[in-house]
Amino acid sequence: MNKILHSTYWITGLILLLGILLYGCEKEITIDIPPADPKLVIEGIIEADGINQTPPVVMLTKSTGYFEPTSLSALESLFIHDAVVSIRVDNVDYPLEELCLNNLDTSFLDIAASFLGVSPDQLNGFNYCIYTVPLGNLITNNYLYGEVGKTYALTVVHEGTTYTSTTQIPQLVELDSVWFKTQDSDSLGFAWARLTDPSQLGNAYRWRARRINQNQDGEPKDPTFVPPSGSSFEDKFFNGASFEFAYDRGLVDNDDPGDAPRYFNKEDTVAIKFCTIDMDVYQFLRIYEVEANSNGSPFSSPTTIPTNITGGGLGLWAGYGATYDTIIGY
Amino acid sequence: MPANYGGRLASVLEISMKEGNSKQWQVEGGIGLISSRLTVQGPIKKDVSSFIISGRRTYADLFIPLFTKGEKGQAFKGTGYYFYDLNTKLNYILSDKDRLFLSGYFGRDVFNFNQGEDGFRTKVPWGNATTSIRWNHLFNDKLFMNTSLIFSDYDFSFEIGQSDFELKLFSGITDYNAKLDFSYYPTIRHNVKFGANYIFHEFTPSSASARQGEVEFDTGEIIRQYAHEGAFYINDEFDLTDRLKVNTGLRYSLFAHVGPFTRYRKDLLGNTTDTLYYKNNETIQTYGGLEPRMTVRYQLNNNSSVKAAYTFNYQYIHMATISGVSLPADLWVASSDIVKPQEGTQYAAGYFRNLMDNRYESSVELYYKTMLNMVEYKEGYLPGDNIMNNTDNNLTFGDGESYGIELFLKKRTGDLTGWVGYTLSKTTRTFEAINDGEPFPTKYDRRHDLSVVASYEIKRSASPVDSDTSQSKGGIKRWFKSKDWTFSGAFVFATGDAITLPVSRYVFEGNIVNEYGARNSFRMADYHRLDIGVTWKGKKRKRFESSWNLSVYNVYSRANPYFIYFDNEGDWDDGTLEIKAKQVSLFPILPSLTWNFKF
Repeated sequence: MNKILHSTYWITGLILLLGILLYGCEKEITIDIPPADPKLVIEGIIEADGINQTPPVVMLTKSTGYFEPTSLSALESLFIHDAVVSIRVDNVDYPLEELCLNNLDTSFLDIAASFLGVSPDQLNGFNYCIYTVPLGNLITNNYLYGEVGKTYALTVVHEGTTYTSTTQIPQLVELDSVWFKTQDSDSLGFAWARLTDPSQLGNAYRWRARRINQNQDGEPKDPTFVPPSGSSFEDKFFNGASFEFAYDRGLVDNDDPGDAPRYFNKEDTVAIKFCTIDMDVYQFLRIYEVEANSNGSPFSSPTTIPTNITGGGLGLWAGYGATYDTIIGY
Repeated sequence: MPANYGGRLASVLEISMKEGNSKQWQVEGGIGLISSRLTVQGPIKKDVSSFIISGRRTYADLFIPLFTKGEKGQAFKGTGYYFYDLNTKLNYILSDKDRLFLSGYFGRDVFNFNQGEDGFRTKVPWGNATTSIRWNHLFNDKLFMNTSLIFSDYDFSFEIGQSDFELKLFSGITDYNAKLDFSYYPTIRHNVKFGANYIFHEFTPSSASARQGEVEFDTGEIIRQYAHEGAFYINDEFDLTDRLKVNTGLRYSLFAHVGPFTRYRKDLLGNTTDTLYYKNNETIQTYGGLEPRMTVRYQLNNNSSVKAAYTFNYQYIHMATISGVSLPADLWVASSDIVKPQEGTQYAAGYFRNLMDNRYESSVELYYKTMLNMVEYKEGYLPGDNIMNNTDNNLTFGDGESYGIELFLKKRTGDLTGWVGYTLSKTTRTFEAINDGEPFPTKYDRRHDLSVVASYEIKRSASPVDSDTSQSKGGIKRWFKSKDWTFSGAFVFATGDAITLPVSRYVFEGNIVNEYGARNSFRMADYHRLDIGVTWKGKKRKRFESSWNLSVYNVYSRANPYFIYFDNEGDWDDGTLEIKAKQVSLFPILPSLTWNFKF
């Protein structure tokens, strides 16, 4: 009798165990998120380096539903083409015009690729659009460009809604020096710099780096300046001090197989773009970078990125005061 | 809540541990597939002193690797949940008027989650440790006194990582508590309690350490918070008439945040505008006030009564939930110079009725509660940076409201016993700086909460059959009849946690950025679960008693959500990017066989 009982237990046990094997502790679920109304997203830059006359560039897109499939080609459909965009500085309004890749020669590819953080090849056949100074003005060399110390007010009118924002190009602060130092290996390491922060509190900075030595295809290793994680910082912890700091290499998609993620190689020639930014831009970038890095992982708090756009838009209108340095590879 | 309890707005759970057997040794335990426990008790000196010690450990975590073999097994290696705890109590009878108790508790819960593919992992250990000494003195048959010294320590730690990035959040509370409680029975109609309570708190507000590979980030010093908390109370439970019972009390509580402490004052942009240093034991801020409460119960007739209650409380520590999605990262925050104590006002009314010759007990209760000075983390708060900052600078303040109805029915007697409880409730918060000032549900807002518990007993038939030697036909029937059987089942249902989810995405600098929906405007899946069990017990032996228990946890293997996270798969450059919502659940169906013994 006990035997019968035991076999009953075993069978029950086996069935139960099978049941367990079929269930993991993680499963994919469908979440019913009601469709959100698309919002206007502004990615606008006005830059000055004291030498070049760089025109402002404003990219206008719209937001999409959370689970909608995303791709570069999907992005193409997100561009907003019929907006009225202008910039006001020194009490003068400068209207901007939309320029699309399809209507331009390929020299524009580099600017577009740099904007999107991809290589120009990836943009072949992709209709990338921005708003910038009218082409005619560019040709006659009579156009609006960023100047250090000036404040720029952006206005975008789209479908009856007016979006506004203001940014400043702060005074330039140059790095005292830059160098490469190995870390954890003979050839790999980080980019180092010495900065002397101005005595006045309230300076904020952004660091980006680009490997300009050639990759196996004969192109610069990085198509554009790449911000590492946490690329922007402010001077509240070191106001007025002179100090050294290091950055690792920002992640890019098109590394050569031999490249170590996050490390520079001693053979890399690295161009550094070091920018001053205003506090609103810093506040946006700080939270935006964490949000972009966390990609909705469970430990991120629901983040409202503090946009400087009024009128219900998303994104950032940013002034950059840029300085450049180079670390020569050896 | 009577006046001898305080420090919380909602409720206080009183757990008292049984005393050890002072006559004889006794061992009790259970050995099971997913957990085991053991209790040993006995006299140290017969009729004078005794001890009891017990421990438990679950080891479901050891089986998880078995369930996730192969490729997936690698991915989830090290995922699991377990807890263990240890309880001890010593009990001395010093004289016929004095007793001394020493007790200790230590428990730890650990949750691990490892998702191999993108290296996402989290570890959440939390636990309590307490030790206490209590002296019970009888002045006369109308007055007795308890004096207690209690040490308690609560730790919560939350470790997360992805690839070689690691972040550890931790918080804790260490309390040194002294209590003096008197019970006084002046007449048969009165039960008076009065006393005083003092606690020295040492809070470690949520602190963080982070590292990327070998690089340790400076996340700032840990600024602990120290506080004195004291209270006096008097409470009287008395029968005004044969039908009218009153339980009323008054509590005066006081909380003082004291140094050493460093306060960083911030402007709206988050810049430090001022730094204040406080010396050892320097009073930074004091709060306090009267907490009145009253419950009136009126007996309508032999089997029904009505109740009305009013309670006002202060609570000097706050619970703040760090994560928007749903991780169990609820951290305690102490009142300070900028964090005011919570104030709770509750009104409740109830109707109680026994049915069918007291075989059934039923009740309906209504409550309404307001809470002032609640805390939440500011929008956009990212844990990790305590450099020149205080954790509570990241908080924002608001009020809460809660109301509901509770229904309860219990069958008290018979072979079939059990109860059904249902609560319909709503809890919201209103914060100026969150959700555009609109009310939003709290994470634990449970619209529905249902519990059904039942147990059915079949007693051993009186026939003197010895089951172990029975080999005849129909043996199973006979074997069945030779045991005491208890069949039990429990079903629980609760509305899912309210969470905040991203509603849309946009592209910025070539990255995908989330835009979040209204605070706590989404619900995780509802929680429901059925557990069943059967216990059978043979004839009691002289010195030894044993029983078997076969139980099945989560019978229909409901994947109840523990937390949800999002996983980005593919690359958006080549059009393969997909965002997937992943839900992590703790336990699937868990059958368990346990052998319980007692001797």
